This record gives sequence, structure tokens and C-alpha cells, in this order.
Amino acid sequence: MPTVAPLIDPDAALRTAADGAGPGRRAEVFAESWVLSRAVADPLGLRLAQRRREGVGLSLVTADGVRHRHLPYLDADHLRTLLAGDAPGRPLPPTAPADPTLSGAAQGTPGDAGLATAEVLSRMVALAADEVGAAFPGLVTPRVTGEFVERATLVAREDGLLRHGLHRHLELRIHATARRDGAMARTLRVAGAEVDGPLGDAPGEDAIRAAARAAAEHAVRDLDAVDPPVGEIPVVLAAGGPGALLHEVCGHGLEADVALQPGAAYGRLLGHALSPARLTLLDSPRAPHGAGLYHFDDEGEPAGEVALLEDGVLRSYLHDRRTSGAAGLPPHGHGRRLGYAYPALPRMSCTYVAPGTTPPEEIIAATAFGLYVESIVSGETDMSSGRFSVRMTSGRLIENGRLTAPVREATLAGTGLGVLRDIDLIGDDLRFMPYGYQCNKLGQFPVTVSVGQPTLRVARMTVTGP
Amino acid sequence: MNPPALTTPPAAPESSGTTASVGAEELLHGCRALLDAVAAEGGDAADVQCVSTSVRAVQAFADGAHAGRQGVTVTTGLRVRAGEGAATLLLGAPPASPGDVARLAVALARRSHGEGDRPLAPIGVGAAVHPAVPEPEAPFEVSRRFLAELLTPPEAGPVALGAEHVHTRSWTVVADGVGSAVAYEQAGHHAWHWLEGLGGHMVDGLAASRFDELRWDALAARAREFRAVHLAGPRPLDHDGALPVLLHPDVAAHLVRSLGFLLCAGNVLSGMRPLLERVGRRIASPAVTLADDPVSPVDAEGTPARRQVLLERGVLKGFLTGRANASELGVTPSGAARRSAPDQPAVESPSHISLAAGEDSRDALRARLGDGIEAVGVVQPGRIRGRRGTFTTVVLGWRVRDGRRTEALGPVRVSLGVFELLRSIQATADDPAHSYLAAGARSPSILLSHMRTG
Repeated sequence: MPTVAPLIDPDAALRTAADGAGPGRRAEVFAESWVLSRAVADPLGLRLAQRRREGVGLSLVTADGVRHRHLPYLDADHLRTLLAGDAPGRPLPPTAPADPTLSGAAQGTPGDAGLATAEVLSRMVALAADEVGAAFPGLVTPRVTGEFVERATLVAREDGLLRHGLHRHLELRIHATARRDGAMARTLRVAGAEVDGPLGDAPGEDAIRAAARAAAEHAVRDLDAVDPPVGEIPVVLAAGGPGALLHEVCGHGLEADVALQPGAAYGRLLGHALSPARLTLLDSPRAPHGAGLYHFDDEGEPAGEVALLEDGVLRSYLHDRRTSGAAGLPPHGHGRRLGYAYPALPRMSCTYVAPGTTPPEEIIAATAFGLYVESIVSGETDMSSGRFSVRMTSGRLIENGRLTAPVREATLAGTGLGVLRDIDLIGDDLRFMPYGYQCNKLGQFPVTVSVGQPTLRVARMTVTGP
Repeated sequence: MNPPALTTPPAAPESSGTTASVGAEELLHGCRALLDAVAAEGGDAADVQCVSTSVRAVQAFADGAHAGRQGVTVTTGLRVRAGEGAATLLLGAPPASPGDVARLAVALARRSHGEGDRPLAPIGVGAAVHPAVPEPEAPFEVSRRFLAELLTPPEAGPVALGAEHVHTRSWTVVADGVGSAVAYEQAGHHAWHWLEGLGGHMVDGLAASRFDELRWDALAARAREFRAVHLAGPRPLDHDGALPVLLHPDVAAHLVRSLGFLLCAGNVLSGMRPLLERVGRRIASPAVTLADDPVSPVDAEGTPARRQVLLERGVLKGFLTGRANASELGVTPSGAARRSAPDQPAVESPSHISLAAGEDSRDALRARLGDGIEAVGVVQPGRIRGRRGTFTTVVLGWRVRDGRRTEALGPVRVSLGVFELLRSIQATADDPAHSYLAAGARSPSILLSHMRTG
């Protein structure tokens, strides 16, 4: 983890947390500096931008709930004013301190650091855009967005715990648009990674070129796409990005604050076998292959891997400090916030399926007819009942055990418990999609997550048109 | 560049809001200093939009837990043009020492090239400060009590899982590099809850500019409607083809908002040019009067915002315009340029768009409906899609026969080409309501002679 100086005076933060606590009430000071550098390359040219936010919040947590107050600047002198809000209705100070802006993650000479980042990002997006354009000259046009995020945080708690650190990640979103004879097809490939070393080393030139070529080739291929099959049919989910389905299908329902609501789909099912195929579903903020998201969560807890399902049996929910305390369990590092202005919630990090034993080609060969899903870009779920719908943007038909024609957009729908029940084949080819999916919960959007899975077959799933 | 003199309207009574946002004049000064620094660094043009928002939110959940959130956020968007490029920065509060920020912005702009999203242009108004009408803060326990009532388990049907009330007060500053600046304050209340039910969870809510304008009773009534449909279970439609449809206000609001986007000048100029020849002619039924009436004094380009009638008794009267497209059309800009974030380009969009109410009650429209569909809730919000401009939505509701509800229905997809739809509106009811989900839209119930189903 890259090192960084504390965002605010640690002693002042710890004193504030201690003073905010009381009988049955915990207190956390959370300070954040977030810097996003962006480069966009498309036929119009190259555009550069940077976004920053920074501030500090105080969460007072009881068994009944959370009260959170925040200020839009990093300044230890004003920390204690957050305590005044212990009673509802007390005012917060209206003005910022003398120079609140360019501190935080990019400490040093902000202008120089920002320019150096811009230079590297510019080279990356230009490389990807050139690769897309060169793959099918005149046929495919690129639009590439590169975003580099540096997020420094500090957590000080009533129990004396203090953590601070810096986390950095890169996300390249490579769009390719193919046009031919009035037909048009678009594809998106994401190349993302946690960045521990120099920005220029991640994700690597070869990976960028490969993602760009794949985007271009799929866009051209999809010019000949046919309408998707509809109805209740076998669906094979390719390794990697389609793991977003499990994020929507199971992940939200297994977040403890959701799972413990009255009538929740996964309530009271701990210890029950939900997946006859003995699927193992994990959530790990320290997932491998660049998919790791943080070293400690936004409540200061070390990032821990959680086995949600183990050999098909529901073993755990995802907890933050409040829900783990209510359940009498140790926290495991899944309290996340959109930013300093929000209280922590139980949230997913990198949700992934452990690999099975079946080679992916055998899964396809074993499917007489079905839909092969290559990319899912968005979805929504009823967090309580587990009903979901997700949008497939890239896929192919499976006919007689072979991948055949590309298909247009389709919608997949069902319930989480139904999908877990109907997964019947698990591939041996686990892949991750680092930083490729953005998650919404209770208005805290977007919180970036990673997903991963091997090839999976769902014996039956409802497929409809876009 | 010198800071402009400020023109402040007569002092309003002191606000009793619990969380003060950063003061307007302080923000103006910070923005001016930032623009001056950009000029000193050699930037060719710049503008800045700064928004300071104080928020006070109360959340309650079905298991008895609650969460409160209170504080201030400030975002400052700076757009700079230098050489052949442009760049944007999004910051927190305007910096007290803006030199480093300006230097970075100008350097990034010089490294960019190609067309920016929008040209930078002077905003063209004198400096002014517009405070909002003050409002006493609703006590914490009052809003929490309303939320708790929403969460009270019903005798039957899905429960509400959570509810939230959010009160925001914000100052927005728009300034440019030639000495113009304006600051205005806005207040808003949002209350929402979500219910488990058919077709996924349903989020519904209220939006108002004052707490006492929140219609908690209306939200509870809609929840009762939703539960009644839910209890009847999923029911497919027993009909192929077109049927008359009655859209409740929260369903119709998505149509109203979509029409606002349809009639933005940028949309018309880029793909709907035939509409330019239709100004002054009837394109909708006489039941349709549609207008956008912004509540902010200026838009994102500093143009004084004004009410723009788009359709009057079915006759096309004009479009929502920003400065560039208004110039191309040869009209006065309507002040409809808005930014999705302070560092984003200003594009035209509806602000507070409303469809005029009629005189008949919803019950009367149902009686006129005869044999058709009454849509009471949205599963998929409606929008205009595709090359043909088809408005499509997925709804829950009731099958109506002989003007009476007979059985619950849905989820069911209803759609129609938007211009045919405009001609098919037979009447509007006397029940207009602000929508929570279709932000800024206000609509009464709408009776349509037909929509396609399935």
C-alpha cells in the first residue's frame, strides 16, 4: 500500500472520536481526500480533467442506527464542531478554513503531480484509441476514457484505533463503434487494476492493446448480430465480467442490513444448502489479479475475505461494524462509504465465484441450445426479495454445443435463489474484471466494485428482448 | 479582471436552517479569485460554477434502525480554454490560494487538443445575489415520525423497507472571466420510501420546495394502490394490440419529462429538424399545454431563466434553448442550459416542466376510459427510445371495463410513437402532482385514446 501522511492531526481525530462515544455509542472520524484524473481520447481529440473532493465526517453509531455529520474540508481545528451535532438541529460552521483545497492524496506539488498523471493517462488512452482505429481502418471508431483515482483516508475510532493510507486504481473504458451499410454496433471493454507501483506500469501495454483489439473485433462481429432467443432457456455466463450477475443476484441480498430486514429473501437461511452444484461465493477486498479494492475498510477494519456460500451452503452475510455488533460477530472489513459525507454501510468489494473443475469448452459442448453471455453492463435488484434484471450487451447463440451467431442486447431476469438453485456447471477458468462495475445502494452511488467468476451454466433463466 | 460589484436584493428574514452553507459572497469572491488566477497564468477563457449544499437527511428502516446525515459539501467546477485545448477541474471549496489550481488547469488545457464539449462564452449578466425564501427547519422528530408512519406494517401486502427525508439548501455561483457573476440559493425537500413488490422493489417519493408542501398522505395513498395490485399477484394482459390507457400522475410525469427533452433545441437541431417547420402549428391534441418554468433566476450560462411554453393547446410554440442553439434558431435563449455537475458542459434540459391540468377528476377519466388500462405505478420508467421516437414504459395497474376497475394487471409494457401519442391525449385530470422519480416534472393524470400493449 503506498504511504501517505495523515490527512488530519491523528491525535485530534482520536480525541474527537473518544469524546463522541458514550454508553452504547461508538464514534468514528473518517477523513478523505479523493482525486480523479481523467483523459478522454476520441475522434474529436484529447481532453483532460481532474476531480477532487475532500472532507471529514463523524459517525455516531448505536444499536438503533447511525448519525453522521460532515464538513467539506480537512482541518483538525474544526473537528470538534462535529460533536455539537450530537443533538439534532445544532448548526455546523458555515465557512471553510484558509486554504482547504490542494492537500490530500496528491501531496507534494499538486500541479506537477497532476501534470505527470495527465501525461501518462494521455499516452494510455491514445494507445488504446490507436489500436481500436488500426484494427479495422475506416470501419471502427474509438472512444477511450482513462481514469486514475487516488483515495487517501484516515479513520480514528473511540477504541483508539487509527488507520490511514492511500489507495490508487486505474480504469480504462474502451468503446468501439463499428458502422457498415447503415448497421451499427457498439462494444465496451474495461481494463482496470489496483495500482501499487508507477501508474505507467498498470495495466501494461500488452493488456491495453489486447483489450482494444477485442473491443474492435467484437464491434465488427456484432454488425451481424441476430435477435436474442427469448423464453426460459439455458444461459452460459462467460468467465470474468458476467460475474456482475452474481453481484446483483446474490450480493445485495447477502449484505447484512438487507438480509436481516423482515421478509428478506436470504433471511434465516444461514446453514441452508442453496446451490446443488456446490458453488462457493466469496467477497474479498484483497482479491488477486489487480481486483483488490482496499486494505482497510471505511471503518478502519482490516480487509477480510468472506465465504458467503461454501460448497453451496450459505455461511455468512456481509457486515459492517454495526451489523456485526448486532449479530455478535467480529467485523470483517466490509463497511464502505461513497465519501466523507456518508455513513458506512455493508457493501460488496470483489465478489467472485471459486473455480470448479469443468473446462469451459465442455460446458458449451454440453449445451444443445442456449445463450452465451459475454458482457453485462448494468442491472438492478430488489435487494429484499432478490428479484433482478440485468442487461446483456454482448453474447452469442449456443447451437448444438457450439458458439454461433452474435446476438443483440437482451435482458436476463429471475430471482437470486432461483439462479443459485439452477447453476449446474462451474468452469475451471476463474477470471476477474477489476474495477469494471459501479454499485448503487441507498443513494450511495457510484461505489466501484470488482467481480470475478469462471464460466457458469444456469440451466434455465428468463431471457427477454432489450 | 476585477471582482464585480454585487447587487443584492432587499434583505430577507434570517433563515432558521440548521446547517448553514458557505456564504454566497464568500463563494463569489473565491470564484473571482480563481478566474483571476487563470487569467494570470495565460488562460484564454474560463468559467466557473460553484455549488455549496447543506444537507440534512433522516433515514428509517423497517427493523427499527435509523441513520442521520447532516453537513455541507462544496463543489467547484472550473473550465479553462488555453491554446487549442480545454480542460476542466472539479474541486471542493474555491481555494484561498488559487495559483496552483490555475496553473494546473491552464497546463492541462494546453496539453489537450481538439474540440471541447462546448465553447466558453461570457455569461452576460451583471453580478447579483438571489437568496431563497427562508423556511423554519422541521424538527428532527417530526420528519422521523412521518417516516415511521410510512414504515408501519400494513394489514396485508408488502411492507416498506426504508424511508428517507432529505432537506437541502444550496448556493450556486456562476461566474466567467469577463467580470460577470451571479449567485442564487435554492431549497428542496425529498422524501421517499421503497417497497418490495411485483417486478422488483418500487421506489416512490415526494418532492417539494418547502416541508409543508410534502404530501405525505398522497405517498401513503400510492403505497396502498401498489399493495392492492401486488396482492392480486402478477397478471398478464388478456389483450393483444392497442387499448385506451389512463396514466396516473407519477406514471405520466416520465412522459412529461421525456417531452421536455424532446423539445430541447439541441435535440431538434441534431435529429428532429422537421419540427422547426412546425412551430405555430398543431402537433398535439388540444388537451396538451406544456411549459417549463425554472425556479432558478439564471441558467448555467447566466442567462435569465424564464417560463417557456412549449405546447399550447396542442400548438408548438417553441423550444428550450441555451445561448448557442438560440443563436442558431434566431430566438432569445430561454435560459434552459444546465450542467449535470459543475465541471460538465451546459446542455439544454427541462427544469420544472409541467403539463397543464384539466377540469375532470381521475374518476371521471376512468369512466371515459371504458375498456382499457389504468396505470398506477411504474416498474420501468418511461422514456423515448429508438429512431422512431417511441415512448415505452412498464407499469402496474388495473384492467378497466365499462369504466370500472375489474382486476389487477401487470407488469405490462405500453408504448406508442411519441407524436402519435401527443395526438392521442384526450384529457388531463385535475390532480397534478410533482414527481419524485421524474425529477422536476409535474403532471396530472392523462387519458390516452390508445397505446400499444405487450
